[in-house]
Formats: sequence, C-alpha cells, structure tokens
Amino acid sequence: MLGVNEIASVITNEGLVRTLRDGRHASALADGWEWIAADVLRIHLRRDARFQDGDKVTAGRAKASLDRSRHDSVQSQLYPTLRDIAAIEVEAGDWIRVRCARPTAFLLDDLEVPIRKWDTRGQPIGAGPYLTEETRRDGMILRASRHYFRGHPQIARIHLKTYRSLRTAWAGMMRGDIDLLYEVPSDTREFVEQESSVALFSFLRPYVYTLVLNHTRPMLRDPAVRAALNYGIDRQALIDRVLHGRGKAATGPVWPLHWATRRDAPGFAFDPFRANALLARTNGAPMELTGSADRMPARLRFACVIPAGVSPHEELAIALQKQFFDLGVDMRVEPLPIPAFLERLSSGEYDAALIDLNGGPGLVRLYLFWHSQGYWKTGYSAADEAIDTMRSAPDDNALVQAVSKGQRVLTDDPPAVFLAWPETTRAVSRRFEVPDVDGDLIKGIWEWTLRP
Amino acid sequence: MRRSPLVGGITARFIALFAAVALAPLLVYGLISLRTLEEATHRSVSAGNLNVARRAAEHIKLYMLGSMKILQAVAADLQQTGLEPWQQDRILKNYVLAFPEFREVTLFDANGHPVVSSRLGPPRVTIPKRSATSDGAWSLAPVTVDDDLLPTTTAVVRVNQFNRTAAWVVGELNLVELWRMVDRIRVGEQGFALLLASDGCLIAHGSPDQKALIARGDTLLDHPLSRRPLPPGGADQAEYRGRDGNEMLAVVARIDPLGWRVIVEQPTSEAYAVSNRLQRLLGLVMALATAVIVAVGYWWGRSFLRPIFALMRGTRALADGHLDTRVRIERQDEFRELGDAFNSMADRLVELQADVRKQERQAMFGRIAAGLVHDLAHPIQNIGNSCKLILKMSEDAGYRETFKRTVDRELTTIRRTLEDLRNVARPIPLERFPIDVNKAVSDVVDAMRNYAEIAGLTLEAHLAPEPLVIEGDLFALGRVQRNLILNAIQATAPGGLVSVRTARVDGRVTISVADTGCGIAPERLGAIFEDYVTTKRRGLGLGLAISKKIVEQLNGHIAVTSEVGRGTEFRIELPGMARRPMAAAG
Repeated sequence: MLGVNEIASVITNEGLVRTLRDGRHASALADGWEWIAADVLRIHLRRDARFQDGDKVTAGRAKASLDRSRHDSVQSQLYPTLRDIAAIEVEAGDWIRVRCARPTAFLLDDLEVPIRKWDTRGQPIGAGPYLTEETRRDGMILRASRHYFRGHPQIARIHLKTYRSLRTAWAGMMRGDIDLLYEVPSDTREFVEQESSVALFSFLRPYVYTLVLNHTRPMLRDPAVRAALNYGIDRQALIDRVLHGRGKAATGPVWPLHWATRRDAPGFAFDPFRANALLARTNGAPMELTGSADRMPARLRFACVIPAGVSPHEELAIALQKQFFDLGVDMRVEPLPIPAFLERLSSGEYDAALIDLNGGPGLVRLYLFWHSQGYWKTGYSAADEAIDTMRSAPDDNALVQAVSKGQRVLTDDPPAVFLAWPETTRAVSRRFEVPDVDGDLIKGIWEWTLRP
Repeated sequence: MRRSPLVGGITARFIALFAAVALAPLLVYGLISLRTLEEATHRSVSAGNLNVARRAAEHIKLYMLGSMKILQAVAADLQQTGLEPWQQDRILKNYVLAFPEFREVTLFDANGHPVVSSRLGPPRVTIPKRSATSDGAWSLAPVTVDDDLLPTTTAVVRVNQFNRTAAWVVGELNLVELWRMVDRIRVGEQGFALLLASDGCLIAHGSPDQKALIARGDTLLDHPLSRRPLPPGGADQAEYRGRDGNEMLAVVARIDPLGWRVIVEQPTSEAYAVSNRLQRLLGLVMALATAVIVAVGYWWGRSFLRPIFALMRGTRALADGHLDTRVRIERQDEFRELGDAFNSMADRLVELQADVRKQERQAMFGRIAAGLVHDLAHPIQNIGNSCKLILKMSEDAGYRETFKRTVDRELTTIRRTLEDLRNVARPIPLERFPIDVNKAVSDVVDAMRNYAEIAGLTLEAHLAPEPLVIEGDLFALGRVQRNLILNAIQATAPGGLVSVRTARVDGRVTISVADTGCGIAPERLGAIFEDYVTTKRRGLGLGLAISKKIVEQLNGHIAVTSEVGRGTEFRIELPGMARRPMAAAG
C-alpha cells in the first residue's frame, strides 16, 4: 500500500512549485516568486487555484498548510528545508512571505510539499487533479477533481490497484483490465515491449543505488578505503548484469541531469589496480589474509544490510560481493526484512547498506542524506561545508561553484559507493494518448485522453 | 456485307489450325509449368521452414543441454572437493553471476536439506517432485511462467557417490533466452515460431501479440502439430486454419531428449507468396503470349485472308456490274499476281464491253444510215432534178447562178454525208494497188486550194522529193486527205496556214496535215477518231472515224497532236514500198 499511496500522493496533491528534471522550478499553485532578501521569499499564488472541495487556495490556507508541514516530523524529514522557515506571513493580493532562519537555496525544492487543507474529520484535501474517492484493501479509487486549476481531467476515475506479481498484472493488462503498469522490471521490459497494444515510457529515475558506508566503523573510517571500494566497482558491468543495461553509472549523489551539475566532475572510474593499491597501503584497514570454514581470506571485511526479497537489491548485492571478492574484500550480505532494515539504517547499526536513495531532481536531497544533520546517523560531515555553501548560494554561479566543490568533496572522502541511476519504465495501454511530460508521465495523467 | 459460308469456313478452319498449332501447346505447357511450379515451391517452402524449425530445435537443445552441463559442472565442483562452505557459497554465486540464466543454484544433501545456495537468504528452490523430462543424470520440472513474467523451470542434477544419491544440485533456470531464440526466428514478415513443452504447454511464442498466451499458461492442444506423434528427431507439417482465421503452414521439429517441439508457422498467403507470384507471373506471361500469338495470328491471318476476301469482293462486285471495281493487293507474292490478273481481267472486260457497245452502236447507226441513204437518195435526186427545172424557169441570170451554186454546194454536202453514212453502214472494199503518195497529195491539195482561198487561208504542200509509193486505194486515200485538209481549213481562222507534208521515215511513208487553227482540247483529243465525234457545228463526226478506219485497213496508223491556240497536226504512217513498181496510180 506504500507504493499506491505514493502514486496517489503525486496525483492528488499539488505544491507551490514543481521541480523539473533539470532541477529548475516551474510554477504550480504559485505562479511567481521572488527573493527579496537572502532569507526572505515572496510567493504569489495563482488566483484560479482551488482545493478539491472547491475552496480557493488562499494565502492563508497555503500558510496553514506550510506551517503544518514544517512542524510535522515526517514531512519535515522529507522536506528538510521546511525546518529553516522561521515564519510565514500572509500579505495582501495572494502573496505569502516566507522568512527563513538562514539563507537557503533549497527552499524552492521543498516547496513541492503538498498544499492541503483538512476537513472537519481531519482528512486532507489536496489541490491536485484527482481526489481520493475510496480506499480499498487492494488499492484506491481516485476521482477527477472538478476544481483542478490546469483543467478538468479527461479520465473520470483512476483505480490504483496492487497486484501480487507482474504476471498477474500483465495478464490483467492483456485482458484490458489494466491501462497502466506502474513499473516494468528491466529484465521483463524486453518481453513487454513486444506487445503491440502497450506503449512503454522509460526515463531515468532520480534514485541512485548506493552502498552507504558507515565511516564510523573502524574498517571504513579511512577515506582511502572507501575510495578503494569505489574504484574497485565496475559500475557499467553492474548495470549490464543487474539492470540489463538500463541505467546510468553514478559518479556521485548529485542528480546528473541537474543544471548545476558539472559533467566533468571527478568520479570513480573502474580501476581495480588503483583500488588494490589503495587497500594495500591503508594502515587503518585490518588485513586478514587467512580465512576459516565460513569466511574467506580477506584484507577487508564488512557486512552489508539489504532489504530482503527486494529486487534488484539482492542481485546487486551478489554482483557487488563478487567484485569485492575479486579485490580481496569480504562483503557479507545480510538480508533483512524491510522494517528491520529501516531500523538498522536509522539507528546507524550497520557497516554498509545497499539502498536506492532519492537523489533528485532537487539538490535538497544532498542535504537530506549527505549532511551530518541529515537522515544518516553516521556523523559524516566532510560534505557539510560544501552542502551548506550550496544551501546558502545567493545566485546560480555560486550554486554551480558550490555543487562542483561538493562533488569534489564527495569524491575525495566518499561516504558511499554510488552505483547507478536506474531507468524505470511504465507501460501504458495504447488506448490512451499520453502527452509529453517532463519526467514521470504519471504527473501528467490528468491530460491523458482516449484515442478515437 | 454478306459473307458467304465459304469465308466463315476458311476463317474457322484457319482459327482451328492456328489454335492447334500455336495455342494448344502453349496452354498445355503453361498448365504443366504452373502445376510443377506450385508443387516445387510448396515443397521448397515447407523444406525451408522445416529447416528453420530443425535448426531452432537444435539450438534450443544445445542451450538446454548446455545449461544442464553447467549444472553438472557445478555438481562436479562441489562434489568431493573438500571445499569450505564459503567456497561452495562463492562457487554457486559465481556460477549464477557468470550464467545469468540461473537465477538460483542450491546444493541439497541426500535428505533434501539445503546445504549452500547462491541466494543471500533462504533458497527458493526445492527438489521438484515431478519432472517433465529426465535423462538419468538430470531432470527438468515443467516450465512455468513466474511472477516476474519470465519462463522458468527447475533443473536438477543428482550427485552420486557409491551408486547412491549423495546430493542434489538444483537450479532455477530462467528460460528467457529461449524466448529470445524463438523471437529471433522469423520466416518472412509474418512467420514465427512456437515452443511447446511435451504436454502442449506453450513455452515461447514468436508472435508479439500472442505472448499473453504464455502469461495465461495456455496450452496449444488444439494445434494440429502439438500432439501428432513424432519419432525422435522427427518432423512433420500441416496446413490449418489459425485462430485468426488465416490459413497457416506449420512445420514441427521435435527436440530430443526434452520432448519439446518447435513449430514454425507462416501464413500460407506469405509462405506461398513467391509461388503465387510466380504462378501469376507465369499466367500473365502465358496470357500475354496467348494474346500476342492471337494478335499475331489474327494479323497474319487477316493479311493472309485479306487478298482472298478482296478478290471475292471484287469478283462479287464485277458480278454485280461494277466493272470499275479493282482489287488492290500490296503484297509481293502469288496473291499480288492473282490480284493483277483479276484487275487485267476486269480491264479487259471493260474493253470488251466498250467494244460490244461500240459495235452495237455502230451496227445500229449503220442500219439507220443505210435506211437514211436508201430513203433519202431518191428524194434528194428528185430535189436536185427539180432544182434544175426551177433553174431553167428563172430568167434572172444572177439569181440562177446564185441558186445553182447554192444548190450544188448543199447537194454536194448532202451527198458526202450520205456517202459517209453509206461507208459507215457498209465499208467500201479497198482496191489496193501501188500509188504515189506525192501525186495523190498534190492532186488533193490542188483540188482543195480553192476552198482554202475562199476561207482566206493558205494551203501549202511540201512533198518529199522522191516518189513515195505505197500499196493502197487511191480513192480511199484521197478521201482521207480531203477529210483532214477540210477539217484543217474549217478549224483555221482566216489568214492561217494549212500545210501538207509527205516524207519517208524508216521505210514508212508519212503524210501530215498541220494547221494553225484553234487546236483541240486535250480531254477531247482521245475521242476524235470515234464515230459521231466532231468539234464542228455541222457534220455527223464520221470523217475522222472513216479516215482512221481506211488508214488502218491500209495497215497504217493515224495520230494527232494538238495544242489549243496553236494548231493541230494529223500524221498518217503507211507502209511504204521499196521501189516504184512499173506503174503507179495517181
């Protein structure tokens, strides 16, 4: 149900701004904004924006929604710069003034946070093109909102449904019961794309498969060890083997399509000799060249937690394990049920963790994951200064410089092995005309029309 | 146009002959070729598709047996090698990484408990209770489509020790490569392959739109080749109507030892497209050849029959009295000669008809003339006598002279006319004896000079210096000369000249009478020797006709040349005698 809720949230909610795939911002409920000081942002709301119950999205309601989100523990974690907001003021003429405690260039990224109001029963009412009509055991039914400011959706109802397996979902699609398959696994894409009644839409997903390294662990404390692990990984081979060639090798956590990203930023090319050399001259890394019945001889050992039964993490872990094995590194993989996995992550009880991290399209995700005050409890602070510089960048040039610096720092003292940005694929029945959309086509579902 | 039965008969027989000689062999050859072509191409297409199916079956067999060998290699690596568990673990994982078709490989002990697995967590595979295919050393579970929509089977290799089962290596085999293999098989544009398990379950389908059948776990038991018994390595073929209603050509090849089948299907419309195209082409060529032959035959036949038809039309036209009908045959062959002969015959017929008419006319006018001469002779004689009496009764000498001259002149004219008529009716027999033409001409010119002077003309005679002797009738020849000179005088305006010349040319004697008169129009020139043709206001037009007849009776020839406004010349040629006989008349 987590997946269904996330999809529903995209369709039912609308933020003040929308972050495009290149990290730029486009208007949503707000049709304009201006920084009147390094820490003060004025936002003008659209006059035609309405909630799904028909109420106008007023400055007061937007302020109330933002206030509630920045004080909500979950929302403030997902949108960390909301915590930087010191005060929100309502101004005449549909303006709101956001006053921050400090300058923050990430604020616009987080103003994607849904603007909602709450009814008398405490149920949220969004301003997106669809509203929740019914929640069922196997999914949700969404109904088109008559008040969506971009126009009335062409599809009256959307039934979000979970399927036990791709096979049953596909059979449903072949029967015409399903019009959109939210995610087609890369190893199945080859088969699905042959179906003439289905159109596939692929795009680079702003998530990066990452082997997070806990630098507080003695064996991973030395940046050279972490760099060695980065050099020892053949990312393209992983993409070819596990993602079936559908992905982009990651050079770091910065979204590669972001406008401020340097294309020639330093990264970790596959260099097993350099990795070997780095490991060989590392004094801090324990060297164990003898093994036992259960342990291979290795000069570096660590455990990696992964979510059990989640594809392709397991395949990725096995492939990583093999590449590390070739380097004389014993990475023991520990599959954990998802709750236990998340618990271990949040508590910092791990050597390494394999996870796909939200890395874009805004830069705020850098702060969330790679700032010492972010999500990880590892105390990794090498990138703090660079990320703070990004955060306080007064203009585009300063931001480019800061991002470049951050990329360099994250390479010099890597907190993880960044593996790949995967490509994701959605399958849509050709009954529908799907207009071009920036990024995920699900965001433009309100514009879909039935082919004649 | 009325067509006689003969024409239809010739045409029909000609067509029948043409069809028998040219068309029938062509049609027989074409039909045999069509049939042969159809059979040969159908056999070729079936053989080609069967070859594709056999090669696909061989590839699939190699792939599956290769996978079994990999699993056997895993078993060999793990068996009795004293490897540590981590090493066994590594081996399994390495195999899975090296051979992506194995999604999992797990080693079970003899009791079926997992020992080590390539998976990070608990193994998913178990030792299958039912095997679809077994080869003693290995076995395969039935193929299923897993939750990820991929075809999967479980392969098991038994590890023996002292002839007892010591362990099992079980691998979950992702058969998506089989899909790729089957997908790569394309026969033409619409031909594809299917892979069926031994129980008819669909493992792979090359048609993109039919892959949903696999996801549904469909069997193809209704396919004519899914259950047909096949010996090991055997193959078969069938034509059947597919689910979409299209006629399909299907061939099947068995995959040993799996018991699976590769079926290659292709719509017959495409499979036999080349054959059909060739047949259509051959048919078209035959039709064209037939059309060309018919056209050529028609043209040739027409050209062959056309002269016959033309001759028949001409003959029919002649028979209908159209004597001016001629046939025109352009060819240079016997038909041309036949046509020329026909035209000559028609010309001759016209001449004969003209002669007949002329003779009839002459005979009729002869009878009339004889009647006139007979009936008018006495009245004219009486008129003459009476005129003499009247002349004696008149006392006016001037009147009598004028009256006498007038009556004599007119009576002379009447007598000459009657003489002409008599000659027409009953030609005078010629009395031939040698005469001197010069003397005869001189006498006639002298006699007629008075006429010329009265008409204000000059009449000259230019006689050959030597005597011109011919064998002729002096009287008749004089009549001819008078006719010609009189005509010249009458046709020449006052002040003109009439000259008479004699000569010997190449042994023949010529007499020419030329004037400077008004001349004769060319269109009338050819008819002036005919009876009753005259250019004068008076006379019956018999003079030239009689003259011509006399000249021809003397074995001579008379000709005329004339130019309007310049004058006319008559030229007589008579056979001359080499030397003067002892006495010549004239």
